[in-house]
Amino acid sequence: MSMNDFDHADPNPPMLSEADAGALDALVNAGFGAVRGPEAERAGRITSLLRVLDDAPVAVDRALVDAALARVVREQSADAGEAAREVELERSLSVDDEEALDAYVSAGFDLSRVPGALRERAARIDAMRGLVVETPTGLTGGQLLMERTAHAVAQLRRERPVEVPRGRVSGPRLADLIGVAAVLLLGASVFLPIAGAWTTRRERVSCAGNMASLAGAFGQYTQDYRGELPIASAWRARQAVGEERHWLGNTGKDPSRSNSANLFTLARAGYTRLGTMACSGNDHAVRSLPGDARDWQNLDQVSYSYYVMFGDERPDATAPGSTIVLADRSPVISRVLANQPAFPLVNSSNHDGSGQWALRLDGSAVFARSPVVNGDNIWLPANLEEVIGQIRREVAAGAKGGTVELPTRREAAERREQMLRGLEAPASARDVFLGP
Amino acid sequence: MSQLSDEALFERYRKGDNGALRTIIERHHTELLRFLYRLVGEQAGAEDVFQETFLQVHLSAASFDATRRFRPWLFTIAANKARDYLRRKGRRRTLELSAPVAGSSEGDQGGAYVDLMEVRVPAPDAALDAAETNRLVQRALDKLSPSLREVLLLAYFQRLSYAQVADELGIPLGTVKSRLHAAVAAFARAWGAVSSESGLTPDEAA
Repeated sequence: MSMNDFDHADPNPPMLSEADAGALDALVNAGFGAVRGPEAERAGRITSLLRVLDDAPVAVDRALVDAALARVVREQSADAGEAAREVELERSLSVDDEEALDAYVSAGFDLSRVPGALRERAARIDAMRGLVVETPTGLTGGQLLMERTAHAVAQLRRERPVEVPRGRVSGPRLADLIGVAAVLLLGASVFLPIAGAWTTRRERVSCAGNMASLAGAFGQYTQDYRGELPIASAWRARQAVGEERHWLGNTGKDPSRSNSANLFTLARAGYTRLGTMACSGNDHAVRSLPGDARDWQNLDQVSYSYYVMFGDERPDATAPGSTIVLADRSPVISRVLANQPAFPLVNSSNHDGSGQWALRLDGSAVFARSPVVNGDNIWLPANLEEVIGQIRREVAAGAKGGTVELPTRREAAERREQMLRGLEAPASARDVFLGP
Repeated sequence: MSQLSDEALFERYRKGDNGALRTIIERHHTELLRFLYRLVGEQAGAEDVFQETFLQVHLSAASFDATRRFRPWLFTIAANKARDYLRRKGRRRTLELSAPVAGSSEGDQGGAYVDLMEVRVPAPDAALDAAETNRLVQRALDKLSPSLREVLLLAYFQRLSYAQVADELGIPLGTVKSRLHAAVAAFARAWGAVSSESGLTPDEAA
């Protein structure tokens, strides 16, 4: 999408009808399995539509497909000459040079981070980059250009002021979220027993060893996968560890339905042993599973929470080294899924609530006494943090009408079920949100 | 104000602080102008596109996603404006596939591949005339097709990952990779040609 399209953005993008939206919700709730009741017919149509993406042999609108293909061919023909030249060029870099370039890009264009075997070739690329970026251009008149530009923008602004977007919460309205946030806030009044004493030194040291081993496993994986972090399935799944669901009508079952399966990739692909991902502070941790396992069998077995990889943006090896990718298991998601009050400032239970180990992208680990690291709550996605912060400010300052009406427990449970369904994702590659 | 991030400055601008955008303009002026100069090949055109870029920044201010980084967005707007400028000027760069790579004797692997190990780039401390080097760099860039030049410069100036470039340009990640591979090869080949034509001696090249 060209940035120029912003000039002609559709202010009224097409939306699903209420009936279709309900059918889609029912389909998602059923894990894309059979839907019964009044929404069954609509859900069936949606399934058929989605199956087109799966190349399943179903009847599709051939005229629509033909028209779409014809348009693609026309657009391709318009640039056929250039495309032909590009196809020729696409084969003009040797495999070794391609590998060096990929490593150089993955290293953030930092030659010192390129593996030794590729560094000599990458140095050539780095030198060429220096030619392009750093050779003085001899351009003059910079001050005048800046003045002229600033003046032009100011004049335009007088004619067309910026339409500042109103402060709003993305997704449901704030009123719909009060129930969830109130439950989370109310959790402060619930006595969450903390052992009081520090966890044993032996357990924390053991976990520190796990962090060191996992740092190496992550590092090796990112090298082998061109900077990508471990991922098993990009499907935006529920936080449903070990669950299997029929997927778009396939006869098989897809076990990779949880973010824990993404983390499990490190063990499944041989980068680490399962025992390295078992915290001694977790009584339900397992050190072995059947050989064909792709995920832990249930949430209790999971010791560490991993960066939720279902967002539109995912961090990779070039993200800031301070980005937290792993930590002792989140206490929030597990409690919410168990219909229990959850307080977002609670520490992981792995070390009796004293804190959690957090592994950063640069391979360092820190024992954080709070889940808020660099202003970011690692147990929550940014939009929910914003909502909670906003509600706290309103409650503190006096909300509209002077009071905030708290929902009943049933209303809160229903809203929580609507909101925290395991489909949440980080707002961006910089929003640390770990789960499950 | 100079301590604030681009994102914080732009948020101030959206809320009415004209000075914030002025700070952004000053902060990115040198690198953005250089980027545009490399892209369009001439100072006058680069300056026009520079101004158009910030006008578009204003027009698109309301739609900027504050959770994203400002700089890649700025450079993507600039690249789009540069593309428009080149289209208006009716410029089509031709690609000289037959240009030999300096140092290769019989061509490499049937002429299909560039071997980067044979690319000769002036050492940083080489006593070369800056103006002459600049001229050669621009001549080499001018040999690339607009799309390859754009992806090469976006990657080089922004130092973005493949995924980030794909996101900014709205094209598949695989396409970004293949284009950047091709762009680097094309620039290497073009540089070899122009530096050979200019008579750069082996002593002056790395």
